[in-house]
Amino acid sequence: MFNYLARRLLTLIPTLFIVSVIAFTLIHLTPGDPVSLILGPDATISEIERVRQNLGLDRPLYEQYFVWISHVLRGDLGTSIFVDQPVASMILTRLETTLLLTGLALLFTVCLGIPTGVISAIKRNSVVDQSSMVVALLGVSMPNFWLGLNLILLFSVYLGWFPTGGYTPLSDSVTGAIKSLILPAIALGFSNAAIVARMTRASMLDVLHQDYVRTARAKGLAAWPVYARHALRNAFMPVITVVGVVLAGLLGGAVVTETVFTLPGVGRLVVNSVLRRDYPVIQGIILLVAATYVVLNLLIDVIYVYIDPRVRLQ
Amino acid sequence: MRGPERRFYSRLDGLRLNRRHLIKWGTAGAGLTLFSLLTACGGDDDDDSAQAEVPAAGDTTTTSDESAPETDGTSGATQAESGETQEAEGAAEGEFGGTGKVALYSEPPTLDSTWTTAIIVLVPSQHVFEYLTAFDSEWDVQPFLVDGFEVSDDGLGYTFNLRQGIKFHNGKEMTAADIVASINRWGELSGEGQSAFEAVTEITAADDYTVDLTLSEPFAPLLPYLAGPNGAGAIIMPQEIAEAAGTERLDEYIGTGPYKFVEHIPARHIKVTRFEDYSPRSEPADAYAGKRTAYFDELLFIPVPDAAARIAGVEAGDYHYAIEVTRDEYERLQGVDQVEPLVIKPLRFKGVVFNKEQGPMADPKLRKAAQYAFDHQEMMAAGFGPQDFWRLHPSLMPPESLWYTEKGAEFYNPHDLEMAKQLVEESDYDGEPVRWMGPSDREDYFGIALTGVQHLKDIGINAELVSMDWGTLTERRTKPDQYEIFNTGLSFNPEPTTLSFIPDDWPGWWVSDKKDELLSKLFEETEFDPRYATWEEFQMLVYEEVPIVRVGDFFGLDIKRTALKGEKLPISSFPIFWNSWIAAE
Repeated sequence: MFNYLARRLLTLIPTLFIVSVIAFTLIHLTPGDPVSLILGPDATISEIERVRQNLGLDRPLYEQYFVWISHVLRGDLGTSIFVDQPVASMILTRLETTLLLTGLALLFTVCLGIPTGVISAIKRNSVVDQSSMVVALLGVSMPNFWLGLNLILLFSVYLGWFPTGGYTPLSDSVTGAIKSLILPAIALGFSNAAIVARMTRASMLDVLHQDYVRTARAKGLAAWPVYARHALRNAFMPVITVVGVVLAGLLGGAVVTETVFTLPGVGRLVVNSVLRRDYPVIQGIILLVAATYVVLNLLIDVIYVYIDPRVRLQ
Repeated sequence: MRGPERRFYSRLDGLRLNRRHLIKWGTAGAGLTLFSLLTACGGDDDDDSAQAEVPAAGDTTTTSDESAPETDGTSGATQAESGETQEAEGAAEGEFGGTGKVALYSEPPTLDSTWTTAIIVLVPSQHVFEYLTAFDSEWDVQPFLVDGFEVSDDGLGYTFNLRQGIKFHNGKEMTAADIVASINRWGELSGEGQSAFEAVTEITAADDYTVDLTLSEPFAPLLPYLAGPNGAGAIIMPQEIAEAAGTERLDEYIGTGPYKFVEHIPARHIKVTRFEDYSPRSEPADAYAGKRTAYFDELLFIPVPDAAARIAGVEAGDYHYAIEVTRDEYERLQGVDQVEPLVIKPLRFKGVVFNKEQGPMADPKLRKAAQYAFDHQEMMAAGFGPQDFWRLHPSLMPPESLWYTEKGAEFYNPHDLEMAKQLVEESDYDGEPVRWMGPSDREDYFGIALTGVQHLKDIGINAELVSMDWGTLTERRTKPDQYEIFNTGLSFNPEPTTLSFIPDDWPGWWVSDKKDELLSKLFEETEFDPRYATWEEFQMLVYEEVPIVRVGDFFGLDIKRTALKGEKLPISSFPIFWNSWIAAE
């Protein structure tokens, strides 16, 4: 096991090296100049050149790469060209927002989607079922940015219950943080709740027609205990698979939602950094994502061993 | 000519500038982004009056706190059109307390407004940093961190007498050494500063509260250049900070302003709080000059890139002021309770810029053909929709400016396709592709590009729209082999020679002996009338050589809560939040 882990960890080095080279090269080959963007449209070419020199952007690409990678090896992801702040701290401060937003959205998805699906299945073809599925269809069809804007209009502008945007850090106020994330979480989670509801309904309907459910009812068991203990548990497997996929979708959707609600999350950081050609920030995020992905894969491989005794690490 | 202008030019009489300075003036003018912002406010005419403090050679002029400029009260180059806010709110006593929240359309990359000309930087920066002199509402230069300044008879020696007891935000008292270090940094770093320092031979601290500046030859725009707020201007900071930063961007924001810097958390806010040891001037507030009072406990400058979110935020009361919102919302916002829309008229003008360095558009005949081909009405409509937020006129300077002229009007928006085709025939053009860079992420730019390309096709030019994002465009426009045409928003400047397309090394590369000659004359002339005549010649030259085609003016739209009160708020798309407070709603 130790040898296996050591070997896998060693493979991390060439993997990250290749990722760093590809990320650096691709980003720098993308047209656009961060300095022209910082200095604005009135800047003359000589002013732009002066700042490019200050930032070392006039040096050959390989030289810039070695300067950057040597800092990375010392644990320094570099400094943002645009705001002149350390990349690592910029990413860390934004992780809180993105993780909380995704977590709340997932909670909303599960809490709304599964009960709706279950009730629809049990009350099949009733008004409740049909109206739930119409709402679910609307939810699936509705872009989350559009829903977000409408939520802002209703709950923030007209009713004044929630802020229109921005984020209060947990360290400042827990309730403030939750309050600033409720609307974004609903906007982000609604379409996914619809997907989960439809999947739960379909899965429940399958299970409800199984013999063992009929037998349980025939034995005289009450309806709800049968649904809860027998049907739902068996219907859960495909639902959990969908929830896993939904989680990945939530992380992707957070990019748009963070922009609409002006949330300082990682998604918005990526978008802004690409628009501003803020090379160190983009490179830093790509490198971190790659490292996280590799480490998670390794952890999953290790966990397999404990879950399934037939798996052997070689 | 109005009184102040006449007085200004008569004061300049006798002051002589050489040609080199005049050209430098034009070059450095691109950095005068302040003026583009200030022109959106209701102040009077331009830097003509601002330069009124420049003494005539032969005089020794002392400007002091007591000197109050005479004004005629006429409207400025541009103005913010709003109902109530133009009332004299400044006369009222403000209410202390609370947090002022300002929604910005983008993230300021720094607060170091000497390092960059970016407009968005100045909005928070001017609350933290101050300048030796400041513009008042008539564009006169007024003493600010100085009690006054003296200019020697020959115009080569400037003495600045500092106000005493002014403290920096780190508690240190401001002295002449800080001014010298700050001005030296400005001279090294900023375009204007470099231009001024061509003439500056020495700047020294005569004593703790006196700065002597010596020129090798007269440099008329020195005082306006030093005045604030100003993009790439001479912000004053402690000596050790200025020297440590050098030409790098500041990493510590220690100024003398009414608010002190607390934190910059990207994507969240820039926070400044009231500076309790602030030493206000005694004169009444007057635009950027006079007394400054920090009514708010703190100010938050919040980047809100989405315009819809900025609007919703002001409507909901989350923000007190939002800069540049969607113009389409104007009609609706007029009816929204407790929200006041403010038309910034004009904000900038749209120009089609040709690559004169290489490629087919380097041929003046072909540029002239394009000038005849364009239908400006159609282009502006494609960019800005209904005519509430744009207008057409032939002048490089707006109608509100005393530099407005209709010279060359016959070449403005002629839309004469026959003449255009004839000019194409007469040119050396043989069907090469003409690449027009259009930023697909900027609706107004793209609309103009889209229609412009069609107009060129209509006269047989093989024009193609090259779609890209704004970030790519800003890079490519600095490379002459990458394009033939792009269009952009150009800032208005009170001083016409500072229009950004004039310098030789601005993208598009307008290099012209005739241009240099006229620029020289523009600076050598001290009387308004001959100078105005020269400016008319300059405008005619633009129509003849066609470095750009000026399409039309466009306006901006800001919004604020009606409860936000203050001294002449809003004065521009570049608002100030000292002397501002929140009244009970």
